[in-house]
Amino acid sequence: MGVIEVNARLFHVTPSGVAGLIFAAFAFFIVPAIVGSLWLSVFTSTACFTLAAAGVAFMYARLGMVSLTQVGLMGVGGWVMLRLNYAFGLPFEINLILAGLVTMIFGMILALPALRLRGLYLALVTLMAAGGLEIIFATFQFPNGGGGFFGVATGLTPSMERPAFAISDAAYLRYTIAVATLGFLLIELARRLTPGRAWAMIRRSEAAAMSAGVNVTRYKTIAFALSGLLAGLAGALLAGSLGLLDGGTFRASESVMIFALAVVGGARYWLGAVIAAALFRIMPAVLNNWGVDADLSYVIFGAGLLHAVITAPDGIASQLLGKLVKRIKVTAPKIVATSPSKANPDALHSTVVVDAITVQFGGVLALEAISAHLTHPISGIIGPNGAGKTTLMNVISGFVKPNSGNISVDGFDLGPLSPHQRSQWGLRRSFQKEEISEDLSVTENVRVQIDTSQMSDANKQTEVARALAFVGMSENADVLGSELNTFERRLTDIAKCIVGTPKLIMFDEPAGGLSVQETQTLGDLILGIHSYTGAHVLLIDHDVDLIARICSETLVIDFGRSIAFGSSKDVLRDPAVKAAYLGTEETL
Amino acid sequence: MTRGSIINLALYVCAMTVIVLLLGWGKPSKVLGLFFVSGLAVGSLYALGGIGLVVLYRATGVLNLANGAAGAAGAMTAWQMAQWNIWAPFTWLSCILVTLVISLAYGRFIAPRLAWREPVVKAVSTLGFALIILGLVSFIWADDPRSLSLPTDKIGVRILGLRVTVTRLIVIGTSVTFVVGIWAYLKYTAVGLQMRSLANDRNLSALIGIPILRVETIAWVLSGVIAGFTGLMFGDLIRLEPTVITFMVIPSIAAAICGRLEHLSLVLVGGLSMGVIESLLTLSPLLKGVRPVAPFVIAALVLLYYQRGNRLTFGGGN
Amino acid sequence: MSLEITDLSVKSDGKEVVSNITFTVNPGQIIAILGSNGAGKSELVLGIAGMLSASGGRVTVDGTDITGKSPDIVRVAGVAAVPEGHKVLTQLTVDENLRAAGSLRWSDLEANLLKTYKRFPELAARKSQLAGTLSGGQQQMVALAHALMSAPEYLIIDEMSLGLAPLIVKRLFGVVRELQNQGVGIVLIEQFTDLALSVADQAIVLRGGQSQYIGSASALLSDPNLLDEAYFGAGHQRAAL
Repeated sequence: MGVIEVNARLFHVTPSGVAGLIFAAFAFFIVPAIVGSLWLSVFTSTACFTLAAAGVAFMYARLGMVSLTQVGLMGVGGWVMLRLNYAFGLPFEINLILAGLVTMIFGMILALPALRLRGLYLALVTLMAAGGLEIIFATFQFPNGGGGFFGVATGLTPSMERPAFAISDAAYLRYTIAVATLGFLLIELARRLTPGRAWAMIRRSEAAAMSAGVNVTRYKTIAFALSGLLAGLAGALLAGSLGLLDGGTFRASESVMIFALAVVGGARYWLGAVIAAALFRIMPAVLNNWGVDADLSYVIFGAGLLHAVITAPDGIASQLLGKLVKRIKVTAPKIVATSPSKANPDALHSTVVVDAITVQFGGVLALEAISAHLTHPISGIIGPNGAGKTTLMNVISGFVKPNSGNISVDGFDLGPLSPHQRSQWGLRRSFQKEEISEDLSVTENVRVQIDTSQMSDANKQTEVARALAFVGMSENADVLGSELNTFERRLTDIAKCIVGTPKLIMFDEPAGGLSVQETQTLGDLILGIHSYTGAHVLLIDHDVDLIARICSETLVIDFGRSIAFGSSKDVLRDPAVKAAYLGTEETL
Repeated sequence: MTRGSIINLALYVCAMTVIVLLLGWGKPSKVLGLFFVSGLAVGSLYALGGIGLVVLYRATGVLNLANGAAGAAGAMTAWQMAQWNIWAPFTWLSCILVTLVISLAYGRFIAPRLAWREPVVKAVSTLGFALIILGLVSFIWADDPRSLSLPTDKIGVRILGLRVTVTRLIVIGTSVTFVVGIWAYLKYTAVGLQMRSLANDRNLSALIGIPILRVETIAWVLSGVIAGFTGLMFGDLIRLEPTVITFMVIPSIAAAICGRLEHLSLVLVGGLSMGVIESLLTLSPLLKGVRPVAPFVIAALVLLYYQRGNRLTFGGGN
Repeated sequence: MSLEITDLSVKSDGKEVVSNITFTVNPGQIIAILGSNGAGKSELVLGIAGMLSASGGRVTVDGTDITGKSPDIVRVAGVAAVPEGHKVLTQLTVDENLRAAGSLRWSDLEANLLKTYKRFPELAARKSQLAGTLSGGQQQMVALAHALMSAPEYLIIDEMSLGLAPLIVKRLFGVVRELQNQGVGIVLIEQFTDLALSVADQAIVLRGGQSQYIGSASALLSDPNLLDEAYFGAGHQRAAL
């Protein structure tokens, strides 16, 4: 086990991956041999755009981010390549890597607005960047070997250096395909490691990602960097193919087009990027060859786009590759009969101090000087809807800054820590709606929580396995989140909360949507968590029976104020609590 | 007005004054004035286009990238009819009608099939539609220089010592009237209320008995009529070329974004400002090349200004 | 002249969450539908209202079949459902909320508006206030008012009292009684059993989407074991509070 198992998992080839490798081999060996010389340039161009499309596709599919600058960034890569080629005598590969790196930096600059914007607005800002690049390319021509810093010269025949063993057009096509394949593998590698897991959580919910310890800023930047790198490589390869580039190739509208085609092709699949590039470059060439009027080819293009969007929700590739995706059947969770039926109030545990927390939203006082010393291992918080329970949780999580008061655990003030820092410190939170990424497997979902810890990789794996065993989801370790039902998702959520070394675990209405039997099992699990982790547990719920069974002390909140706190037995018998919350005293 | 919006207004006025002065430095005031008015006219079309996009987006969730293309189809139809010597007012009507029919066709037959998809996909779909329209229009009317002229182009009026064509006056006047009219429509009529209700919470609106399909259709009609008018006017004021008119949807989107896809007054101000700045940029030999991106830059800056201090948008920015 | 639910099954997210429910609501009658969280109560309401698709069975109002019809048609037919969570159109004023909800009975709009404001003077006092800034209780009034603007014959209210202060709950139940006296047939979905059972004539208990008990409300009130069994299943011991 250990390192070897890691590698096995990491380099495991899925059926779709096998198809991809076969396709790449086919393209590499066979295509250049059978294709006429006129078409070699078109296919090389297609391979370049496949790489670029892959860069834009993974951002949309994995992170839900729309970037409309990709072709513009290709121009940057091409520019750098041309300049380096004509200025210095460095080998092609060095130029290629440098072009990629420079474009990567441009990509990271684009990440800056991404941190503040999302969706349509983000798309607009990237489009603006593309427009800016279009202007620059139009104003300053691409350097084709002239003197001076810009290196532009008119009337010169470009003499583009190619890689030593890929000088002929056919060989260069193979070279491009090889680089493109490497690009795909790079994306897949990132997806299988920490970045991929972080991206999936970010896509699900940035709040949930932060609660799981993910540094959202860092991973969004990494995504843009990777996307930019691929665009740069693609543009550089294109320069190598054509010898000279024209600003018209890198217009903003082209960036919009490649994005749209990536979506239509299927952003989640490697085949989608191939389809996108093929539609982008091969189809127009084919139509041109057949003498179809340029305007009519727009019509055909547009009609194809429309049809694909309507009939193939996940892209054309999903209809072709969809059958290859193996669905692992879900096994019913087997929860081992756990331990104590009641938590031992004398067991070693931490003290959570909620000190005079006041929160004001505009004119509304959401929480008013809430104070409580939580000393029992499992504490409960109850109150009617809108009482402020979730607001209090948000304060503890770090999403809401209280107007006054603070939270400390064993004397350690949580105040200065940001949400993802609190998570790394040991705060775990289970949301009302279980935030399990549908794109990740159960194991990966749990793994996210400890990705940032200092443990060795082998230890992390063991930890995850232990947590899954505790919640009875070991058999479902590789099942995707999308296949699970509510109860199984909640169990995965719990596993995520207990993995590693948590100090404070908060459950926000975990029994929502569960049956009576499942709620019972949930309660047993939560009872066992304290002895499993040693962490303090906070439970918010409506289900008074659940609270009464599990929590030895309870805080009751109503209208932002604490109306009772103490041992659960006493609190739940308090007539004031009954009247305000249980309604059992109401007569009409 | 809240303190925040007063500050914003003050900032806006300062910024605009500075920009206008900078760009117009050293130029004769008459030239400056002419470019200013021209920019105002085009800008009012951007604003109007933006309003049409916003109304449709809020009611249906579709950001219609095909608005420009539909308008182009209408404008070319008007030109064609003029070639056949049909009575001028009828050609203008046909422009609006054609644009309306095209928009409605999409809205009734294609948009419902994508009703449950996310906004990006809906927008990509309108892109496909735009290509179809643009392709057909370009095919039918081959690439030739054409011009669309309205009888009011030749009539000028003297305002503040400047000669302003009546067309420009009509454009500015109509656009502003349209904007105010739509604002009033949304605020005071029953259908307007239903539209605002839909924009607020679609599911709840359905539950309380609002006829969703009917309200959406009205939104498509409204946006179609606006697209027809702007298409015709772009053809007159800028250039009668299908591609050019189709791409006019982009500054309209920029204007819509200035209003955060919601506040019509801000869309109006944004559009007008964009038009003016874009026009005045022609005066600067250095910044001339920036003209095409000017609307974006302005929209992006406005956006970043709105989002200042927000490290994270909790589901915002959509 | 009644609202008849026959063998209704409702699907949500591909899963069947309500199975073969049958009951009848007569004018002036109050039926309580009880059950714990996840029992399928809300899905039943949404299914009747046309917001969720019915996978089987029928819903008829005074003889007209409204199964699976769109929500606005269900409202026009005289069945008004008020979903849980006191949902209001947050960016519209109270008055605009009511007018929007009343637009389906266009000719009676002003009359219905007057009647509704009379019933809820608290709302009349806040006509131009944005609905999103109202308190929970006031929002619940707006939600009820939405339904009343359509002059319904049958009213289905989901978790009316959740999260509200006892005083407000009392007020709202008063409104429910008034409506009952005016001949409206009412279905109350509640988690807090005592409240609902004290006003209802009939009661249905749901568990796992199926009805475990259907009979008189007073019988349930007088025998807590009966209620427990229906709620939690036989052999369950309710935790001592």
